[in-house]
Amino acid sequence: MENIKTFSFKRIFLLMQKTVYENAKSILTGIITLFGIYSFILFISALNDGDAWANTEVFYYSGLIIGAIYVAGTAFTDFRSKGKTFSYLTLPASVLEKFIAEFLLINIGFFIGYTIVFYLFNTLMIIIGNFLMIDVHLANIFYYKSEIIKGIPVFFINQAIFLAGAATFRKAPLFKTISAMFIYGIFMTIILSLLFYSAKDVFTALPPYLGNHDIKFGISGTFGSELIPDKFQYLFYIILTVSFWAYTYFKLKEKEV
Amino acid sequence: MITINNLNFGYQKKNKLFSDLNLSAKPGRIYGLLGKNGSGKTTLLKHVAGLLQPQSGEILLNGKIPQKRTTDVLASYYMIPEEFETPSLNVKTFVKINAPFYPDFNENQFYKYLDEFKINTKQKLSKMSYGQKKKVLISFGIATNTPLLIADEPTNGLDIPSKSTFRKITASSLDENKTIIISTHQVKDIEGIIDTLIVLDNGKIIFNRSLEEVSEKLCFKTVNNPEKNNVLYAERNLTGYDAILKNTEKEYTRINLELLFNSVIESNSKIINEFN
Repeated sequence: MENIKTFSFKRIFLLMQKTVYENAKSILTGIITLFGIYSFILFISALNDGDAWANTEVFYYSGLIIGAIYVAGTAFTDFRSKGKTFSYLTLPASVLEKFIAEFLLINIGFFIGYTIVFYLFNTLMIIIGNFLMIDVHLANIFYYKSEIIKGIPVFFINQAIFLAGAATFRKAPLFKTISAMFIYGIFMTIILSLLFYSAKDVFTALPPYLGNHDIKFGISGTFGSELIPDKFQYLFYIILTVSFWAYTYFKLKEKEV
Repeated sequence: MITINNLNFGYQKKNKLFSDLNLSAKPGRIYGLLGKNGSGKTTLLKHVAGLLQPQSGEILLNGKIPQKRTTDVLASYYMIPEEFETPSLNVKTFVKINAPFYPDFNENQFYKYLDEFKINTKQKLSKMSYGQKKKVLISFGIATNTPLLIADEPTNGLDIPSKSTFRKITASSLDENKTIIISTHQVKDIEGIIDTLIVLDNGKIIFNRSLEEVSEKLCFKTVNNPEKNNVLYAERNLTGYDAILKNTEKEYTRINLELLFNSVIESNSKIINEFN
């Protein structure tokens, strides 16, 4: 047997290729679903003077974020069954290579794939929109430049958390990760509120979506970033993201059948 | 090749399956790992493949710890599991995406085995029966040409001609650098191909001998009276008794694996004492 390298980019590519081939059906279903949702919105838009499609960029980013969460939350498909876990863990590639392959697929792979599919659909919508007299324009993904820059850390934190969830939970990882985040969010809100507000406020306060803006439920508040000065917020996001990646890596390393 | 020293493991901390289990397996041999259902065969193989962490003790494959799952260790063995799931791909695509991970994979060999098993390579794996999928995995596993092949209940789900094909291709794949471990509870399926018998019972290896040794010490005959003729163990058949006798005359008889297995499992100390 020839000498085997401990790390190889070729093997990472092979792992990615294997994942794409084995999940081709799910990927195709995802694309068809996306087309279906956008077509439905176009149809609704046609009935309402074309307002819904006026801002194409919003569609691009909504789909990107929801899709990215879904893809990360359902990653490591091989862990959903014992039989597949078996072949995944015994496949000759290091844990690091397996982690990098999944990471690249759910981040860069998904971003490129989604953008291509979106623009294909966007072009199709422009053609159909012309017939239906609806104003559909080609999305400019850099339209919200400053918002995008602010959103990048949130995107990566979300991806890291959902990837960790996918490596941890065998059944229904997406649902379980969302539930875990929700429970953690409530817990942190109560703790932070008790620290920074009076106990009375916690029990009498309404959540922000009901009009109370003193208690924050957003991503920034959820992980206790309120305690960090503004200039260190990005550092906090980086540490948090890297921690979840490290957690996922070690979870893969200790996985058993 | 495989060294297991003082392996301790239990699915629950208080309830140990393996207590100080020791085993070694050398290249150039086919080991038959036999045991009743639930005796710990699959658990032992999972340890060898690094899929379970021992509570204590040491497992080494060519001096390396399989639990670390480094690429060189993973590429040094192929495991045909009893429980498996195949992707919805045809055989050619399956090979295209899996074979590059095994440096010594031989595609011609793989298709030759599939031909022997009479598998239609154009068919999707998801449309195949359990037995057909197993034949693809067996063919792939042997064609990887890894130094260690682990097969967990490989004959489960195979029809009678395929069991014979399995024995044929497994035996033909053996060379001086290769170790093959076949775990089964269907003793007859591995008759004629193994050269070492390991019997696992309640998490303990109660018998680990080469068949050469067995032939030297024991002989297998049909007798009329099990009380006579140096009979160590006997089971009634239609015409008399299938018996294991002391091989005092140095005659070499065909080993009846099932009889030997039964005798060992029934804690027949007479048999075990013959080897001490």
